[in-house]
Amino acid sequence: MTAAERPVSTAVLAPNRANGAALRASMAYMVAGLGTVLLMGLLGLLMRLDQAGMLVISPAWFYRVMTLHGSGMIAAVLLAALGGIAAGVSATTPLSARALWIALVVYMIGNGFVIFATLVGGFGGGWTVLYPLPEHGIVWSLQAALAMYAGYFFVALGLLIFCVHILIAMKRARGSLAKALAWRFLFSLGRDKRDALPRPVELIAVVIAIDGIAAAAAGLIYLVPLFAQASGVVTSVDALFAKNFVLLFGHTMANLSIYITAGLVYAALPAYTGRAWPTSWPVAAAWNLIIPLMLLNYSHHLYADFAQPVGLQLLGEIGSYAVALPSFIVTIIGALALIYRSGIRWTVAPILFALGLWGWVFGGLGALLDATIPVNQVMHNTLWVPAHFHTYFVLGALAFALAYLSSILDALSETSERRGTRAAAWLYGIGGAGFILMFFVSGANSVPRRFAVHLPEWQVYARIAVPFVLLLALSLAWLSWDLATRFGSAWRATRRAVAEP
Amino acid sequence: MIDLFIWEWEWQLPLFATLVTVEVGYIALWARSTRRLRNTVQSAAALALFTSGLVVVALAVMSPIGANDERLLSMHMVEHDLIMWFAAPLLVLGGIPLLADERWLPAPLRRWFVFLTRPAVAWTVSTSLLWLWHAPPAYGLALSNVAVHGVEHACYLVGYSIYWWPLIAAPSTLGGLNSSVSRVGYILAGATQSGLLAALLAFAGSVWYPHYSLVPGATVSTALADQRIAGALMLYPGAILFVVAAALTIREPVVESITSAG
Repeated sequence: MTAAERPVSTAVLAPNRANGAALRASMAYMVAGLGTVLLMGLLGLLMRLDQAGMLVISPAWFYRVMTLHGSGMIAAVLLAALGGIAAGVSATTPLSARALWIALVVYMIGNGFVIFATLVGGFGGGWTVLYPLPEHGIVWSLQAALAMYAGYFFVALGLLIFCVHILIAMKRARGSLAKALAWRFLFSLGRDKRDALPRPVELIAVVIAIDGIAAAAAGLIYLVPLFAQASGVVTSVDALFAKNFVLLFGHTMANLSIYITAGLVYAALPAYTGRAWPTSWPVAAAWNLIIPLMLLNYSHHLYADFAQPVGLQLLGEIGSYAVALPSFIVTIIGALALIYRSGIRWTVAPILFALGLWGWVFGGLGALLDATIPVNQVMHNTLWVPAHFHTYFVLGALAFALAYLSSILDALSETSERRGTRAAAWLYGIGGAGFILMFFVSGANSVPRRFAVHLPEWQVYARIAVPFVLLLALSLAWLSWDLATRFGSAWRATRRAVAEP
Repeated sequence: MIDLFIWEWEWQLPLFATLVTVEVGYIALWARSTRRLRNTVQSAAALALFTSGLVVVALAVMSPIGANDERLLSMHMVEHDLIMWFAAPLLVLGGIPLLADERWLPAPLRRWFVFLTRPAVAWTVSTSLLWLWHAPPAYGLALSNVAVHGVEHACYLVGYSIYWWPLIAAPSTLGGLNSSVSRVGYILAGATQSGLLAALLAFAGSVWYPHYSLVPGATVSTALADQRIAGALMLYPGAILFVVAAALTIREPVVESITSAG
C-alpha cells in the first residue's frame, strides 16, 4: 500500500498555516484544561493531607473540595483531550476555529457554574450529583444544586457543540460518516480499499464525537426532569432512571478523556519512532467497536442497586470487559510495537507517552477487577475505585495530553525542551505511581472512599502517599514551566508558514 | 404579602427628556454621517438599534418593572439586566457606525475614548461599577434617593456600553479586539465577574439590602427568598447572554494561504 492510499501519521504532526486558527483554538483548549488540572490537583493534595491527618478540613468543606476536584478534573482532562484531538484532526481536515472557540466559551461557563455551586453555594454532593441527594442537602441549598446542574448543562452543551462540529467537518472532508469510519474497508475485512482511509486520529475523532453526543444527550436527558421537579412541574423523579443517566453522562465523559488521549498517541508517536501507524483493519475494527462498548460499561457502577435489571448488570460486566480488549490489543500493543527497536530518542513527549501506556494498562486492570461483580460488591466503596481512575487519569490521560502538547511544541516552538525536563517526566511517573499505589493498598485494606474523616489506622496509607503527591506536584510544576516557556514561540509559529515534511 | 403595582407606569420626566434629547442628538449625527456610510441598510439598522436601546432603557425604568424596583429586589435585578445586557449592547451597535471612525472627535475626547475602549480598562470600569453599586451602603443610598438611583442606572448603562464596545467593534475599528482568543478571554472575564456577584447574592445566607425586608408586607424570610431569585435572575440569563455574545462576536478568521517559510 502506498502512502497516497494510506495517509501516514508522521507526515501530519507539523501543522501548516492553513489550520493555524483552528490549531490556536485547540492549543487554548489544552492550556485551559491543563491549567485547570493543576488547580484541581492542589485541591486533591489538600484532601490527601486531610486524610493523612496533617491538615484539618471540616467535613462540609471536604465534600465541597471533593466535589469540585472530581467534577473539575473530569472536565479539565476532557478539555485538554478535546483540544489535542482537534489539533490532530486539523492537520488534514479543515475545522472551524469559530465553532471551537464558541464550544470553549460554553464549556468554561459550565465550569464556572460548578465552581460557584461548590465554593460559593456549598454544594458537596459529589461529582456524580446522585439524585435525590443534591435536592436534599442539609448544608447546601436547592439553589446550589441547581447551579451545579446548570454547570453540567453548559458543559454538556459545550461538548455537544464540539462533537457535532467534528462530525460535520469529517463528513464534509470524507463525503460521509461511513467513509470517515472506514466502513467499506472494515466490512470487506480490509479488501475494499476504494475509499481513501481516514488517518487513525480522524477515525478516533469520529468515534469519540459519536459517543460524546450520546453522553451529552444523556446528561441533558438527566437534567430536564430535575429542573422540572425544582420548578414544581413534576413531584418526583425515578432515582434509578436518574442514576443510570447521570452515570451514562459522567462515566462516558471520563472514559472519553482516556480514549481521546489514546488517539493522540496515534497522532504523535510515529513522529518520534520514525514509523508510520496507518489505519489498518484491526485499528478500524477496534475503534468502531468502541462506539457501542463505551456506552455500556457505565453500569458497573450500579451493581449495588438491587432494582437495576439483571440483564443490564450483566451487560455492564460484559461491556466493561469487552471495551478493554480493542484498546489493549490494538492501541497498547500497536504503540509498543511502534516503539520496539525504533531507535526512539527518549525526550519528554515519548517518555510521557510510554508512561501513559502503562498507566492505561494498570488503570484498566484495576477497572476490570472492579467491574467483576463479586469483587465490586466488596471493593466498590473503598479507595480501590479512586485508585483505578486516578491511574488512568494521572498516568494515562493526563500523561498523554501533556505528551501531545509537548509534541506540538516540539514541532512548532523555536525553543527546545530543556535537557533536565526529562527528569521531571520520570519524576512524574515515580510520584504518580507512588501516589496511586497507596490508593490501591488502601482499597485492598477496605479504607472507604468519600469519607471526610479518616480513622487513625487508615491515615498511615495517606501519610505514605503525601511525599509522592508532593513529588507529583513538583514534577507537574516543572513540566508546566518548561511547556509555558516554549508555548509563546509555538503560538506565534501557528501564524507563520511551516514546511510540511 | 407585598403589594405590587402590576399596571403602574412610573413616568419620569427628566429621564424621558434625556432620552428624547439623546435620540434627537443621535439622529442629527446619524443624518450627517449617513452620506459617509454610503450604505442605507446599515445606516437604517444603526438608527433602529440605537433607538431600540433607548426604548429598552425607558421600559426598564418606567414600566412596572422599574415601578416595583423598590419593592422587590428581583424586579430591580430585571431592570439592571435590561440596562446592562440589552440596552447597552443595542446602543453600542447603533453607535459604532458613527463613533468607530474617531477622526471627527475632538482630540481630548478621542484620547478618553481610546483609553476607555481598551479591553482591560473597559472590563475594569464595568466590573468596578457593577460591584461598587451592589455594595449594601451604595445600594441602600440609591434606594433612598431618586437622583442617586438615576446615577446608579446611568453608571450601569455607561459601564456596560464600554464593556460591550471592544466585543462589538470590528477588529479594525477603534477598541475592537483583534483575535478570537482575546474575545473569548474577554467574554469569560465578563461572565465570571458578574456570575460571581450573582452567585454570592443567590447563595447568601442573610439579606444584603435591609430595605427589602422593611417593605410593607415583607419579612426577612421573603426578602431572602426574593434576593435568591434576584441572584438567579442575574446568574442564569447572564450565562445565556454571554454564550449568545460569543456566538455573535467570535468570527471565523480569514484563512491564510500556505506560503513557504522564508
